Amino acid sequence: MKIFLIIALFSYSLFASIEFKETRYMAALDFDKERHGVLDITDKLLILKYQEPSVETITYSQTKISIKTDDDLKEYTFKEYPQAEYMGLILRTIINENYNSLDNMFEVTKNKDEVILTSLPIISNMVEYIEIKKTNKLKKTIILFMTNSDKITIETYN
Amino acid sequence: MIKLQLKHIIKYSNILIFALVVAIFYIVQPYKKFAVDISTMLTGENKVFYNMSQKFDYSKTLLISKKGFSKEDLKEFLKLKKELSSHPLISFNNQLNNKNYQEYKKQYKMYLNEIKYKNSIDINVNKELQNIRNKMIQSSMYFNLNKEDPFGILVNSSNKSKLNMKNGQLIIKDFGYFAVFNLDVKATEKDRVKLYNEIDKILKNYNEVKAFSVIFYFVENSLKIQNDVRIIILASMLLLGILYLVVLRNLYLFINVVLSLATSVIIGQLIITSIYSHVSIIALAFSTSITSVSIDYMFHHYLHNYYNKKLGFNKEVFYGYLTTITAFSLIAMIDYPLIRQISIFSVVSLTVAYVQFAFVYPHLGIKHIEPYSKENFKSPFSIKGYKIIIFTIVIIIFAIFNSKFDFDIKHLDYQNKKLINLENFFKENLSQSDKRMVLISGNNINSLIANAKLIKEKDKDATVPVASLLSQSEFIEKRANFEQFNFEKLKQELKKESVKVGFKESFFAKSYNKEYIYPNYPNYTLDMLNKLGFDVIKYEDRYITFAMISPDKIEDVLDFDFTINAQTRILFINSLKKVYGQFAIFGALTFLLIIATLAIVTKKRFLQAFTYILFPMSLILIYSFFVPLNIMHVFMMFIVLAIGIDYGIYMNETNLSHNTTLAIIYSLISTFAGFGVLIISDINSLSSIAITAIIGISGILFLLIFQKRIKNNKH
Repeated sequence: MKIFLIIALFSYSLFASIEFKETRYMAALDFDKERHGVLDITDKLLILKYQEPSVETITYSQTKISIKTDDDLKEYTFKEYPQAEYMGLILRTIINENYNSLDNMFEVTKNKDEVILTSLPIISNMVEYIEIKKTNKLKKTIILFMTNSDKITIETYN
Repeated sequence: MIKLQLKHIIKYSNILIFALVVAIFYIVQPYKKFAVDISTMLTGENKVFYNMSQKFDYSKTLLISKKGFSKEDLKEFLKLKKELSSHPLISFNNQLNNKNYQEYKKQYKMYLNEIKYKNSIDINVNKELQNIRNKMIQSSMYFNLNKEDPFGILVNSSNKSKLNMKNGQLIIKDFGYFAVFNLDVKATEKDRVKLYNEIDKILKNYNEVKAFSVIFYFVENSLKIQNDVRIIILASMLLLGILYLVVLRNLYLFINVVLSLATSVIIGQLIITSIYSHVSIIALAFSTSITSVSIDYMFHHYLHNYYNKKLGFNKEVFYGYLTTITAFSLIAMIDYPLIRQISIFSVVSLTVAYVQFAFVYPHLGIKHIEPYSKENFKSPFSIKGYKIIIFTIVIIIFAIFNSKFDFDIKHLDYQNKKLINLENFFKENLSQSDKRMVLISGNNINSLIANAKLIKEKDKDATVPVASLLSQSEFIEKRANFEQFNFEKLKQELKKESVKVGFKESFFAKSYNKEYIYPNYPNYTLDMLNKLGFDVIKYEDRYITFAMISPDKIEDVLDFDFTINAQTRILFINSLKKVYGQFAIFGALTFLLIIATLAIVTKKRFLQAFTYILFPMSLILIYSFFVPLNIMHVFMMFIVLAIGIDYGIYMNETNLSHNTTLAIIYSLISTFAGFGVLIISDINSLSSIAITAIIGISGILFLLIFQKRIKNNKH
């Protein structure tokens, strides 16, 4: 019985879509932008499907990022858009709670319900630090404090 | 009574001397100064450059790669990385995460990067701001607005790293994850061994991990060489021991001989280590072999009844000893550490042995036991001396044009194939393979940076770390450009237009600030450069760093008068060139001395005795047609000549007695065993000595058996 439960949980974590809310605070404009969507994560892909206010899918693969809207598909390689590679990687590792693989970019401090990733010089011109708070097993709040005073908050719901 | 006591003392003097010497040996501990040190093959400035290149290279770096890209592999790799980083002497190396260097790069970012526009009027401020605003609001991707350079006028000019990344980790393509660590290790052998063992302990828990550091060479090679030398010393002692026991059939003499030879080696070690702070372990391995030459002095005295009958002073042996010693003394004049060490060692140990065999042994009361055979060996055929001379002259003339030489001293070291392969694996994957190291010098740090830039210009693919620093001329040129650019006007316009477009008023306050546009030129010091993570050292009045150059550009780069070729092969050749004159002079003098001694001692039989020098030499030269000779071959060739002369002299006895033939054959076999055993070594310097000795001694043995002897006129 137990084994079925484990398999069920395992497949759930592999294929389940995570609902999330993303809030971007842009300090330069003193403006908040809020979006809702679901997030799918597999071994090779990280897919963000935004549903509100507009429908859009951003897919991070191993080497590139693609942005799909109703009538358009744009693709960029990480060589053209290195920032995207970092963002994809950071998101993926935070969701998987595999902080060790960010050791090239962040110093990790773990508290009880909170993890702080302090950026190392390699990335400090972009991100200052990241705060990850866990309210329960499935709910998470990730806040990226950017060097330019912007703030990106991602809240997951399941 | 006193006389009796004195007799006793003399009888046991050998044991007493040995006990005393062993006691000093354990107090002084000369063996601690023996080391595997390639720099003993270099002289003067070249030695300094070699030591410098060792400091640069990858000497402080540990490279690790874990095979595979699966989830499990990544997990294992990260665990390994964490475990290694937690060691107090191992730190995660990343110039990108060097805080000082990143701050320096930030402070001089306007100067270290390219500027997209020539003048501020080329930028339509309002339009650009509108664009930025639209991107921020509309773009699906997060738009990272740079507060200090909103228009993105700085373009990163630094070369992108050729390394690939996966899951935030460096990777080696088609192999696995990869990491670079810094080792904070002191140069002492003890510290290196300790760190090596600790790294090894960590790595043992992980599968399919490739790891390489230059300190592995130091530790593994030094252990290997020490083991080799130990085995060689034991093997040669055992071999010689059995031989002497069988040949002499005299246990009392045998014990004394062993003690005398040990005494001669230990005194040699004590003296050489009191002269030099580091002695090449090659000198130690050579030292046991040289005892097989010193034992000849005993054979000749003993077999000619000098120990049981009071026959006085043996002139022949003395001449033999004197020429050998003079030859070594002449060779020691050459200002070349390794050869000088071996020569001094040999002079001391031969002298101690000679004094004991010639002056102490006649008083030890050694009984003469006749050797096994009384029959003279008769060869089935014989060759006349002049034929041998003609043969050797032809060979020598041929050799002048055809001998090959190997100047790469790295070949003399132990060839650690496992580590060489690992080093090549990392070098190839870090696109460093085939790159040649040069040292760059400058009278001051500014000129060093300027010189590094010139090299980078000449060879775009070169790795020249210092060239990424800001030079004085670049600073002056860019500053002049900035004055033309008019940043002040751009800043004012930005302030005015940004509010109009809808940005917060204070947001761009730090954009295009004066502190970045007009900073002071960096006041470079050695300490500062080291903190920035650059390898620069000061030697005399010059500052020196390194660069790795593509092979096709090396000649062009070396044309600069501020570059020094740091390849060990070249440094060695330069060292040789420096002592070339000395080699020629003392080599020729040694040769002349040998010929002169031979001529004086052998008189009419000179030609026959001369073959004992020429023939072994010609055989070694024939070997050089097939295998390039290295410095140890050449050095050993001189020793073979010096040994050859002994036989030339002994062969001069008016009536070549049965005992002389025996003495010669025994001593030849012992020399063969003494030096020949070195051939089991993986260390090329030692096996080179062995092969030369084997060829040379075979030549002497050949002459002894097959050369037609001149009939004695007196009888």
